[in-house]
Amino acid sequence: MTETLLEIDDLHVAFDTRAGVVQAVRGVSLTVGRGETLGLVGESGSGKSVTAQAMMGLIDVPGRISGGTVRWCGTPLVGEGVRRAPRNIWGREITMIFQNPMTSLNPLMTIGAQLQEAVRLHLGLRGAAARTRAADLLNAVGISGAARRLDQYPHEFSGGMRQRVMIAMAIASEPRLLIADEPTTALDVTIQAQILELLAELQSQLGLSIILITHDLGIVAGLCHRVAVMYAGQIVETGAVDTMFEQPAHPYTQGLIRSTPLLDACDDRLVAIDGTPPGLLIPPAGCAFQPRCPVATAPCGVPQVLTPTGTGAVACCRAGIDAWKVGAA
Amino acid sequence: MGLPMMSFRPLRSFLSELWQDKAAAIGFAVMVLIVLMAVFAPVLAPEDPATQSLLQRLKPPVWDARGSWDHLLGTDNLGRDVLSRIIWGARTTLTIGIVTCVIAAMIGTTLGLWAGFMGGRTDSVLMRLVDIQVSFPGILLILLVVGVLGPGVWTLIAVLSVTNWMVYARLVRGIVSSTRQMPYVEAAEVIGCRPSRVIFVHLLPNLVSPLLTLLILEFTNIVLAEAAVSFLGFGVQPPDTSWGLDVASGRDYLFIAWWLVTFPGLAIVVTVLSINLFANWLRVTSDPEEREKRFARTIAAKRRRRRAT
Amino acid sequence: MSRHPTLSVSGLSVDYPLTSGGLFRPARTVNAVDGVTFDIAPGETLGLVGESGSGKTTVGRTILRRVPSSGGRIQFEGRDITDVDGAALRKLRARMQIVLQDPYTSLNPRMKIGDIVAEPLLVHGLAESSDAARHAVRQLLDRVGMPADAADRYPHSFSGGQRQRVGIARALALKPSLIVADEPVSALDVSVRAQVVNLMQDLQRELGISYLFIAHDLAIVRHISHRVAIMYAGRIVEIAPRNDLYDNPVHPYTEALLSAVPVANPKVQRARRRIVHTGDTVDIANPPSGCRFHPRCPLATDQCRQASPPLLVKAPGHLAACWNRGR
Repeated sequence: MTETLLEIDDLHVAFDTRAGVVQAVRGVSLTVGRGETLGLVGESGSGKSVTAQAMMGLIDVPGRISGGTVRWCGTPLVGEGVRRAPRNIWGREITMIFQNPMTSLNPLMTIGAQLQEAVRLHLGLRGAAARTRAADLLNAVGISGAARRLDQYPHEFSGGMRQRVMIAMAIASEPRLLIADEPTTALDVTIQAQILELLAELQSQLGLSIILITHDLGIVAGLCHRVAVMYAGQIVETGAVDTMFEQPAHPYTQGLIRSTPLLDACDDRLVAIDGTPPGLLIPPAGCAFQPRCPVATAPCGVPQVLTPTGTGAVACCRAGIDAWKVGAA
Repeated sequence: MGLPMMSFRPLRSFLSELWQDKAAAIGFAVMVLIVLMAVFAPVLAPEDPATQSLLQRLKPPVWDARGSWDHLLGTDNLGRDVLSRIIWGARTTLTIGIVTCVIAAMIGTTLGLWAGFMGGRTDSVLMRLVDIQVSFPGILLILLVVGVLGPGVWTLIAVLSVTNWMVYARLVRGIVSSTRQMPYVEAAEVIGCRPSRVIFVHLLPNLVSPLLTLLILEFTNIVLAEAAVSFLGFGVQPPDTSWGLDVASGRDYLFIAWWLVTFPGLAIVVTVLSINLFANWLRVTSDPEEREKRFARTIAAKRRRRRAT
Repeated sequence: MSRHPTLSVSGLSVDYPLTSGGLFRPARTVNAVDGVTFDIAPGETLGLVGESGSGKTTVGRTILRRVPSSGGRIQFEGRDITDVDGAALRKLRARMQIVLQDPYTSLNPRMKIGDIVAEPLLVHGLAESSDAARHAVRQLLDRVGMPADAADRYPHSFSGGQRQRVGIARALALKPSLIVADEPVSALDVSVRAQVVNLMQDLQRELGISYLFIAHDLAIVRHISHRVAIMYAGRIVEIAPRNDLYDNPVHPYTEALLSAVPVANPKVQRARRRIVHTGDTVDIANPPSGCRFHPRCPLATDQCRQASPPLLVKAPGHLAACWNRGR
């Protein structure tokens, strides 16, 4: 096992709403090692984005951390007893990029000014040195004609180029961990391929760790070393990416993989997971997937704990059974 | 469509949510009191507001050494009871405010709907009309019209309506043109709904709560405008009463009878303030996201307090 | 009826206003769709694929006569509908319906599910009584797999997939022969997406509806379509039966698109030869000369820069617009 950078231990995040307390994240534990790419996969409402926000200290009213801790190299960042997170970790050691790059860029400042600001803040570079560094960053994310583009405004960049700029900003501080929350969801397929390629390059060049949050299994397959699958605020399965796709243990993971149409196969009917995820206002007592699970039995009514498997862990008492073989009906 | 069924439960949940915000609750309570005061003016007012009594001129309020229980807030230069004038003045003020707001909102909503729904050239022409009206100094127009038609309550209402409809037009036009882009409106049109059905079933219901909030806020503007115009002598004319008129007629006695200006002035301030407090709360309440945030903040504050004790 | 294609579009062009025309200046327009031609047979699904700015959504809207065309003809069930309007257009609407992308905004949040599904019946006077309407609504909701008590509830109490089912029920209410489905499953989660795709396929088999299935997700399109058309910058660059198109793409853009789709299989995905094109999405306000793909195309020649390639038959039923391929 490589050196652990980020460690999340039994994280709980709750949202106070007028209808009641929504438990969006219910006991998530994760670690990210140096140079590792972890895919955090889940559907909308599974708690994957909220988990990412908690790692960055971005949980704000109406949300709150209701339990657990997030540690960075052993230093607690978030959780019980942490009044103020240590400085210079968020935004410097850990940075984040989002789905919509437009909202994260200041429309009134040139790209160069924003990049130089980041460089000055994190590396203490000023003047010509800062500008050179900013141009280097643009080159690093594959934007040609960097010198000219530094003087342009965000609206002069296309969606894909803006996401490149965001990545440049995110690596300006030479971080060790990059959290990417659905970084390509708003982009076209061909542009998405370019951005994913770029992330893979940066990872190997800079030895960056990446947490990639996505709902697209194809993206995970191409980029990640390890995968954690979330469902209803909990991790239901983790493991190495190859094992996960070849022998998914949890019925939900199996269903997810089988319901994703492939480019080359076609005529078979898609496996559809009937029903919808449970509401988290009153979270189910036992396995959250039980009502939709084709192989659920009586013991599924009790809470499932993550049990180690060959390369990861799974939270299911029926793990390993091929849950969807009757699905072709 | 139609209004939600009125029963006690929504009323109770409305009140309990309002109670969480003390300032807004007080504002609302004062608003209700003022409305009740206006409605029951004939019963509440101890005297006729227009009855003069030269023997009782310029009596100070009851707590002053020279005051008496006959006139709680004293009397004016013609011996009229100040309290009664304030109670009756509420009637004039509220009538002018409500009628003006409704007329202005009707003009503004119609034009805003038209502009937002038609878009294109119609929209451009109507909105330029709004710009012109907005840039025209309101008070000048008021003085001009009053000068021609002569002062009076109905002139005042007409004039204030004409100078205050633009804000509704802008709001409605904005909401309609953005709601028009909503997929469900497109779906309705693809189904084959006629424009009238699209407007009344799919667009109008979105306007109810923002319009209501705006109406209440605008109401304070009208109260102030009415007071100002009446103060200038172009609005409500004696023997009718109005707070603005009272302030105006009291100003000559400012140094010998402070209560003549103070109490009607206070009435204006209290009304405007309480409406603003309530309207601010209402604005947040009609925005689902803001409403949730406010709720969560209350919860967080409670939790902190519990931890502190 | 079966002698005619359900829909036949020829040479369709659309100029879109780029800036809304002001009081004193005319609107600037861009050529969003340029000479699009295709047919859809009864009971057939044509997948229309493209990236943002390709004009695929505009094609759908123009067929539904929501956006005015600036050239070409649209024939529906053998009848020219290019210039139909007013009452005739409203009547036509009963035969061609739409399913929209975002299930969260495509249902009026203030209307009950039952009223939403009943609205088309009401508007076209198809239900004699409110009882008949209620009965029809119950059948429709049941057909799309919604619970029986759904009719009395509001959209917010349902999930995205369920709302999309309601949107489909609304479109089905008028028994249309064509449904334009504009990215109907892109906003849905993977596990729910399959439910809706399966439902759409079942309905087609049962009722013989034709679909124009607009999407950017190539895997889903292959799954549901009989034929697929690829659009780039307002033009169709390739159109073919689905297996021909996916297995033997002719146009370089189709190749690029197919190679860019991530495949949910780590070993395959890592081993894939990825044709990552440099260059950015096209700016349709200033389309390039000649073939609109030439600035990003590895095969581009002077001919491509100067003249726009026609859509020609490259194999039986397989058309592509490229000067360099499949001669």
